[in-house]
Amino acid sequence: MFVFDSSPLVASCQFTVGRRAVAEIALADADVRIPPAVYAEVVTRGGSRPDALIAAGLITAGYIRVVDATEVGEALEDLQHYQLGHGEQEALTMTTRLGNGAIIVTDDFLALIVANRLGVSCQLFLDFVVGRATRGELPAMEAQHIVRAISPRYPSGFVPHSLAMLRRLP
Amino acid sequence: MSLVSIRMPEDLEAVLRPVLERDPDKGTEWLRAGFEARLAELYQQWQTLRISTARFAELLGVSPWELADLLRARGLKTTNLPG
Repeated sequence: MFVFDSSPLVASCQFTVGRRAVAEIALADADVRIPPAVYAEVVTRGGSRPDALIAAGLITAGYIRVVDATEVGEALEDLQHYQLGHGEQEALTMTTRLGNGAIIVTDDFLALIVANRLGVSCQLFLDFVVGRATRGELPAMEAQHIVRAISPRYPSGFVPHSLAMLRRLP
Repeated sequence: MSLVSIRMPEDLEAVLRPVLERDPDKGTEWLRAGFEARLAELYQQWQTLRISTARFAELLGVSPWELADLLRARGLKTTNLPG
């Protein structure tokens, strides 16, 4: 299962492949969960913005499950050493508590480093897309379209590398 | 441009009020300069990993969507990934 913080959700709802938001394609039939603080950042704070409404629609449609605050529990004590946002703190706490098999998906480099230090599995959104294509959950061609669509967001190197991984798939 | 009311810090009122009475547009200039300075300061902290993306938005007082809009509009990086 995948725990998203707000960074990949925002990006995947702002970029499109054709007329569909990247999130609608990339998250279909994936087990994606978010903690309440990520919901607050993305949906509540997003209000009636069209991209925020896409995120809200994905939750309503069941693409993303909002986990109850009691399931997340108290923030991990180790996180107090870092200047993380509430959503990232809850996403890291939740992924840690879910244990093996849970992966946090974030495009925030600090959150990625903290996850690594906590021994939590972590991925960039690009790796989430490549991983789904590798497991046959997303057609490789579709994954390439997604990676190209979100390419303006990433520094050089990340996108060509992702495309090369996708081209190697059988 | 719309008209909004904001609270003036007491310690600055004696200095700011006479200026604003002479030149009301100064307030707009200060607001823009203050916001851009805060954005630049937090952007620097974000790029050097002192704060995360969500914390950046929280400290600026905007949503993650608005933060992405603000960065894109200024031609700045929209992630803190290296490179």
